[in-house]
Amino acid sequence: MLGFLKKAIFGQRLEPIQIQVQKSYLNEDTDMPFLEIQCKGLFPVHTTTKIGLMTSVFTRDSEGELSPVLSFGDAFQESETVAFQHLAVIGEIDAGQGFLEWIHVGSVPLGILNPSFGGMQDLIIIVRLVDMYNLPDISLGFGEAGIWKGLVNYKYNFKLKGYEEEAEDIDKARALSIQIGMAVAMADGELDDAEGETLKAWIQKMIAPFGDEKQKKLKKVYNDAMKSSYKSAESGDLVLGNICKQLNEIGEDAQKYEAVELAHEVMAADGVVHAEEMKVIHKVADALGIDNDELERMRDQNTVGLDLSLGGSDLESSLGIDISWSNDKKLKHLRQEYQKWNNRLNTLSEGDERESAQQKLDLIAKARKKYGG
Amino acid sequence: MSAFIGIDLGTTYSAVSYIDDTGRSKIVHNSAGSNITPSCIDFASGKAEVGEEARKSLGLSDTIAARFKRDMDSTTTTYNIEGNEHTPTDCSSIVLKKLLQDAKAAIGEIGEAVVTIPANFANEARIATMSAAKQAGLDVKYIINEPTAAALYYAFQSGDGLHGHYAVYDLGGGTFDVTILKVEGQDIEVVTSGGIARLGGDDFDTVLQKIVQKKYKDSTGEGLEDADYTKTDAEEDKKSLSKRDKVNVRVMRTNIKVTREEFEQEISSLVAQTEMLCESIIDEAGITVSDIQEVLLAGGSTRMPVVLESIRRVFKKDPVASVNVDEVVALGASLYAAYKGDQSKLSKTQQNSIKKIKVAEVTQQFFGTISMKYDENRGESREGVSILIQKNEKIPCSVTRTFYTSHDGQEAINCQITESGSAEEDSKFVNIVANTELSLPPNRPAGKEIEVTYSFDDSQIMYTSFVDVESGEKTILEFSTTDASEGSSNKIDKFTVE
Repeated sequence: MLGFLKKAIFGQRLEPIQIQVQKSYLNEDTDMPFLEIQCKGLFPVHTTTKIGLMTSVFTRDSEGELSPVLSFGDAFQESETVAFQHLAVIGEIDAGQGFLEWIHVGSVPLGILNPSFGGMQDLIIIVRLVDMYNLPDISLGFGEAGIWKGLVNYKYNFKLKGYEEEAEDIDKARALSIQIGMAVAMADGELDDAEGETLKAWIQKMIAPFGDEKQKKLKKVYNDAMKSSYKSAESGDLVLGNICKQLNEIGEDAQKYEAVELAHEVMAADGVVHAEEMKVIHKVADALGIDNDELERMRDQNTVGLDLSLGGSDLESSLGIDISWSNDKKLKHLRQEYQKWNNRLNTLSEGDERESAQQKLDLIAKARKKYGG
Repeated sequence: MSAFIGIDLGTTYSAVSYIDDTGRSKIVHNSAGSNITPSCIDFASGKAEVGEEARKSLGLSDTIAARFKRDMDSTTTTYNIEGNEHTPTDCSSIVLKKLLQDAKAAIGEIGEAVVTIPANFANEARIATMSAAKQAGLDVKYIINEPTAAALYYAFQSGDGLHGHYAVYDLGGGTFDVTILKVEGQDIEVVTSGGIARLGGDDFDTVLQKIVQKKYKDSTGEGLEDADYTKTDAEEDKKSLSKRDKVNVRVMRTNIKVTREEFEQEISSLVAQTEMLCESIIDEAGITVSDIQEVLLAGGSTRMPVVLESIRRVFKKDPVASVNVDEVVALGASLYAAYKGDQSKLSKTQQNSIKKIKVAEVTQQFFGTISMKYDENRGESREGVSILIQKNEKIPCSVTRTFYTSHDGQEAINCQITESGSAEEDSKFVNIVANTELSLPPNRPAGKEIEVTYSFDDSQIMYTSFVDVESGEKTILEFSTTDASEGSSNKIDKFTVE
């Protein structure tokens, strides 16, 4: 960066410092756009100072307030937050020095930016001229001005969702998870107290990290989801297909797994595995495209220690068998399940957990007889 | 000269063998002149009588302890008999003491001993067995898996007759094991093993007892107490059903007919479990049934026709029982005692007899540690099991893997050694067999290398080390899953921080 100073013309009268941006690409063959921050003019320092240029990026929200733009790249983040920041060291300069020409003093790789909302956004790029020995206190792009602060705008169309949008979608996805949990709870026609408590505890856990205002808002959203889905389930109008479709549209994988995990927790709440509950969970997992191994892991974790005797009425659901499988595949699955639970027996706590695992082994043996191994 | 002995400490019956002057393995007769001794204890009147009389009183008297081998993996089980608490280890020790006493009376001075255990015995059960042997005053240096002992005796008996893959099907009184081995003469390599800890003749007896109880109720309208038709009664009738199509049970002045077909139908779920395990183990061995030369039998329950039929169905061949299935495990155990023990204590003839024996074992379980792992589906780090040594690794073996500290300023690592029968990722489904802490220098950023090494030496002793690469700090643990020299009590004491 010191090399830029060689381009400065000393002793000449310089314009005041100014900045501009230019879109560029890492190289001609790649489609990796970035904004080149350029600077020219006189640096407003009165003594010899080691200077740098610190770049932060914002967008404006619907109320016109600045929203920090975050960064997916570690090298372009503030030290304490994930907000975008790029610090370019210029070097030691004296009073009266500056750049006569536009010099490249910073970069904003557009691909790593994570704004609050996606789509066409007006990026507000703030560049601070800073004393490298006395850096301003900046957090999420906000803070002291430094020696000088300039601003430049650039319009850019973001293809991915912004973080605020994602947060809103997470809220919506969690409301859908509650509806799925209710569908599992009501699979046997009634909401058991333990199942209701499980849903309540889950909501409390989900809202806990937020401040009062957001908690209040989320409580309403989640409580409404619980009440409405209960009513729908009571009247037989809770359409799982629609709920899963919406979750697929707005939810990331993490939310889908969260929903299926909640479904398992609700199923396990009363200590008994009902075949109807397992059926609902399989339907949901299938609609959400949950990986089979993951589903098995969740099922194993949540059914350990539970009474499986009621699951015997539907062996297939209880044991994770897809009835469309060939007989050979069913038998192979049963062998693997048997081997797994047999091996687990002595790792489980004595009492309920071991008894439940033994029940599972008995169910597997029953299924083996059914499929004529 | 003191004798090398092998002890099959069974759930329902136990047996002892020794190496005779010719270097062959022979069964020791007990004080009653029998080849096998019931693993039953009568604690009546403050005594501890082991054997047939205790077995006959099983179900009739509250002073009887039996089937305690099944509880050897339990750290909490005790039996309260006449106001005294007895642990499964105590009871096993009493049986072993009786076996030792009878052996001394029959063959004189006893030297080194080997005790057999089921192939899938958990670490706790192995250690408890060793502890029981020590309590009984036995000089036990090694333990051996029951199917391996059986295979050793079959191989020894056939001279140079066995070549290729063999399956040992061991269905005893309380446990079921199946092992696939590669045999060349008397050179035995274990390929893989599996077992069901609670499936054996005793479970079949329970089923028969329930059939009789149900039929009695159907016939008389009244319930039948366990004492009216005991497990011992059921065991005798079960044996009869292996020879004939039906038995007539006379109980409380009522005749009850039970057919073999009825009985086999009721135990079919149990038999299905043995079949699934056999198929899984064949898969695990990476072979097909056509690769298996013979199925070698061990355990009294292999005499049941339904079991033999099941073996034919799974392995597509007739099983081999060229030796006494009740004794074969004990007979193999004494050969193993001589093979692994101090051979300078053997006569030239004995040395010559066992010189061709070679037994190569594999790891019985998966061994790993608990670490943080990134879960891509959920986009977060979660605790999980990282496996370092796979099941069925040929011993000796060694694996080193690098892990990293997870957060800035981390000052310690919890070093946990896990054991599991399957390749588990969830820490819920593993046993923590040892646990210690490695201290780290303060004020360091995350991402510092921790080198973890697990290894097994020829004696099946496992060594683990956790080393902080930058500072050289390390913690080392040494323990054995088969060696008698270390019990659980001093296992943790062997942690050293250098």
